[in-house]
Amino acid sequence: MKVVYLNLRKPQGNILRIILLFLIPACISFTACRSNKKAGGSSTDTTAITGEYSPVSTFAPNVPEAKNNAKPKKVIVEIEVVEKVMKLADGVDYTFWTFGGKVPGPFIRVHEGDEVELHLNNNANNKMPHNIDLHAVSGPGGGAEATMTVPGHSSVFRFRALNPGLFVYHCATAPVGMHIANGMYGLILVDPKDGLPYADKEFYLMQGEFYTTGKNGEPGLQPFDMDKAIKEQPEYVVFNGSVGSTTGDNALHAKVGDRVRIYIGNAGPNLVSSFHVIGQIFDKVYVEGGSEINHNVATTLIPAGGGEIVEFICKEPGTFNIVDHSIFRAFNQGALAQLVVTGPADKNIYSGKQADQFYYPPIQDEKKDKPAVEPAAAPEPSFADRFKDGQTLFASNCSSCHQTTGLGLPGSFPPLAKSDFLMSRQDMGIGVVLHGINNEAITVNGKHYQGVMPNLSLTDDQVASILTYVRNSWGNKSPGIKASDVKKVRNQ
Amino acid sequence: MKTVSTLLMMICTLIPLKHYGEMPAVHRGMPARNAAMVSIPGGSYRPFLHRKDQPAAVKIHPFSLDVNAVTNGEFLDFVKANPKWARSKISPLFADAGYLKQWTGDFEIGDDKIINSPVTNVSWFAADAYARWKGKRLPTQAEWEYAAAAAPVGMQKGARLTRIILAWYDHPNPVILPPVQSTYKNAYGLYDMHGLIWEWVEDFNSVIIQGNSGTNADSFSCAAGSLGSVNKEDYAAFMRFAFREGLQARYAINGLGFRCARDLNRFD
Amino acid sequence: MKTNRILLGLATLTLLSCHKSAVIKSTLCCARDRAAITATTPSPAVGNNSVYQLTGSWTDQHEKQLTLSKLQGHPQIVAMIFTHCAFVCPRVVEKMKAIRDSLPAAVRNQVGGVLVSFDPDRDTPAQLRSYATQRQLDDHWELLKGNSDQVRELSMVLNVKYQKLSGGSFSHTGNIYILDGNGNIVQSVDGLGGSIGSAVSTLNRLASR
Repeated sequence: MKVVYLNLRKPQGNILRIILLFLIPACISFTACRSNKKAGGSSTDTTAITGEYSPVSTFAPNVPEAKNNAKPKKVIVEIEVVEKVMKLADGVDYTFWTFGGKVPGPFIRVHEGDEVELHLNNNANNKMPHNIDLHAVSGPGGGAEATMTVPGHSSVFRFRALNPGLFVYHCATAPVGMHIANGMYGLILVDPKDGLPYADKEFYLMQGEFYTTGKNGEPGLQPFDMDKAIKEQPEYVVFNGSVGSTTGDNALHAKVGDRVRIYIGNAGPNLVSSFHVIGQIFDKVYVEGGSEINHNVATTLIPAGGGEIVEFICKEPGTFNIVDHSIFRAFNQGALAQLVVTGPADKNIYSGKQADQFYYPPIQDEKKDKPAVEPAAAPEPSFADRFKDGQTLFASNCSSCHQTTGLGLPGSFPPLAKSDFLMSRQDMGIGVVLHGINNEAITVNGKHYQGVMPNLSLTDDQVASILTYVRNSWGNKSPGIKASDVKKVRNQ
Repeated sequence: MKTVSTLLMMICTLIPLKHYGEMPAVHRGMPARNAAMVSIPGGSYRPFLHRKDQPAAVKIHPFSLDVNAVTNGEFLDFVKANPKWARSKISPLFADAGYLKQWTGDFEIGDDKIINSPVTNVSWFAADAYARWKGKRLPTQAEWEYAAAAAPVGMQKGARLTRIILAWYDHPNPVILPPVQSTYKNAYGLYDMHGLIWEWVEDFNSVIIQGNSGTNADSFSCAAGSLGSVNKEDYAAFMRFAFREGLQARYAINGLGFRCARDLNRFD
Repeated sequence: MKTNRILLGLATLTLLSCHKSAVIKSTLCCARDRAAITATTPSPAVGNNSVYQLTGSWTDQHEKQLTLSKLQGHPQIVAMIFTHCAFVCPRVVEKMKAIRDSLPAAVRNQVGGVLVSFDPDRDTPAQLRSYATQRQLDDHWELLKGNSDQVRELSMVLNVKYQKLSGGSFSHTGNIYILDGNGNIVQSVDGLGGSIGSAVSTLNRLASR
């Protein structure tokens, strides 16, 4: 409450003073209200910054924890460029150009609305000039134009993290492809205002190609090959900078029941990735690292120079291979990582192998596809023809079990040679050949057999020929079997 | 006023004629040795970064260029004769904190192995002062690029200089810089134009890649025109021009040295 | 009023013609009288980061010879231009004028403007004089011509990029630099875009030292 003193001796002066006395506090409170309204707005919101901090950046496969600041802060990020020789594969070395001394570079994690002050430091021992382009930046070159830095020097610039999402950063000094191909890339995550939902495990993977003069596996220090890079024919496609970086002892770990979130970047420089975790289904995919969420996806596309966030719950223990499903890259060029999940198994979800059975090869007869229909009134072949046909048919359909010797396999397949079971049967064995035997216990020549003889779906004619042969071989003697005999048994 | 200056100018132009073949006497403390130079014949140079409104080729007048880069030993002679360029005395305006850090003292190189290696960690100002002390100057960017484009003597058929340079980029800086003349000689008789160190040129700050000024001011031109490279295949050149783009004259950098040029006297 | 101005102008001309090596300015202007510096060592008074460590001799629009250290003692607003520049330099100069005009009168009198030409071939003292008249640059302004080596050297110190084009014009960056009384670069501002506010407050601060 303002108390206004009136000076009755100067009326005009009074009025002026009153007006001023009202106006000044009114203006102050009005602007104060307006500035409060500004807080918490759209993506072009440039709210006032409160406080500053230097975030912890981590190297792959680790991800820093989210800060989840209520209000935007100033974030100071220091990145050093280091050119160094490191292992690309067993016996293979490469001169990498790196952010932070590793490939990929550090995982930068900030919050939507933060003001990022980025210091790009070029180590004095380096040879080359470098800069940085972060895809999270709205501004020319993504920061590249402000950060061209020669060795021994440092560039600083600031940008506002206006958009949430997962973004790639990389060196953009010409020729850009060469700088990326040599390993100058990493990921920056801008957490959305309200943060991402909880995940038990978060991992950082980044795919990239390497173009070496020597073929894949050729040992020694391998130079970069510009021609192969232009032709998009890499020798290596790897996760996290080298073959085997995240396999075996270096595999990722999780437990059954964990919700796993993988921030997966694709640096290129050329190839698009078909990202898949063998044996897992992503229940959530933040498409291209943005705000759109897809569900129940097994394989997702990651553009070159882009990223993706995938989530899944580990339901079963085991080793899960993580691949680029352009599959020769995974198994021949190194695009393979692993996740080892430990914990109790649930056979309802995945049973593992339940049975190991003998596999009977299919019938090698061109008449197999035709229905077993007798040609009308075909003349009955002679005994000799039947025997000869039967021998051929026996060889292809029966001999694998009963053997060409007719002796079968003791304990497994009964003999046919001098078989009392065969020769004494009322139906002359026709029923057995027509219908097979399904685990029925039988006795042949005093020996017990219990097994499966498949139903081979043969025609009457074929059955007749086989039985003619079988019942007249290896010491067996009997009259020939006719097709009509088979038909009679079939129709019983 | 004007007469005085005109007179002075006339005298100055006469001096080179009078002292043909000798160093101008104005420079004190002449060094005992003189780096060998070769004459580069005149010709035409196509600037790598080309503006559409500019002619595609620039005329290069004949000039001489040092056969190899200035060495630590030669630079030591200069510093001894001109102590204000010693490491502990130099003004921060003219060199940054890395100036001559490979030496063990103001007047001591320290490591015998690098006496004949190119001097590095010298700023443009220091390089320019050395050149003038020798009665020479720094080569212009056009002169340097023109001289550096010549192929190595005995280069294999089918091989390309660009690939040789890219291979140099591929290897990290050696801890001990090899001596001058340890890489290839080119068709002009110049050693190590590529493959040993980066080299200062007189007008490195004439490179204005659109939008790459690095300061809060936009770069622009008083005559409108856009800048493009003449040869998009020349990846090595992109890197070299990008390097120049990031330089400031006071920077002392591990892999950056220089060699000197001189106008060719009309009687040469 | 007008008589005063004429008398002042006459006095200036007389003084200028008398002294060849020292720079004489009207009392309104900015530089101190100093003997020309011929030593190659930097003057201890100017300090390590001072632009005035450059020892070259320049000619101004009044045909006077001076080294940059003559500007010592007062804050300076500096830019590199050339008079035949049609589009950009005029705007840079206008911005420099606007900065000076925004200063309180007492401060403005202490602050000098310096324009250094890229173009010694065409920007003779007479041409510079004519330019100063056209742009209404009073005696607080120094327009300097030097040889091409000096120009390159100064551009290196100021971190100005430029290139001479065929046809005689120049492609160049357009920052404006604020130097303190000792010649240290305190601030650089965009010559084309942006406000003049921070430059003005910097100069106010420098003048109050």
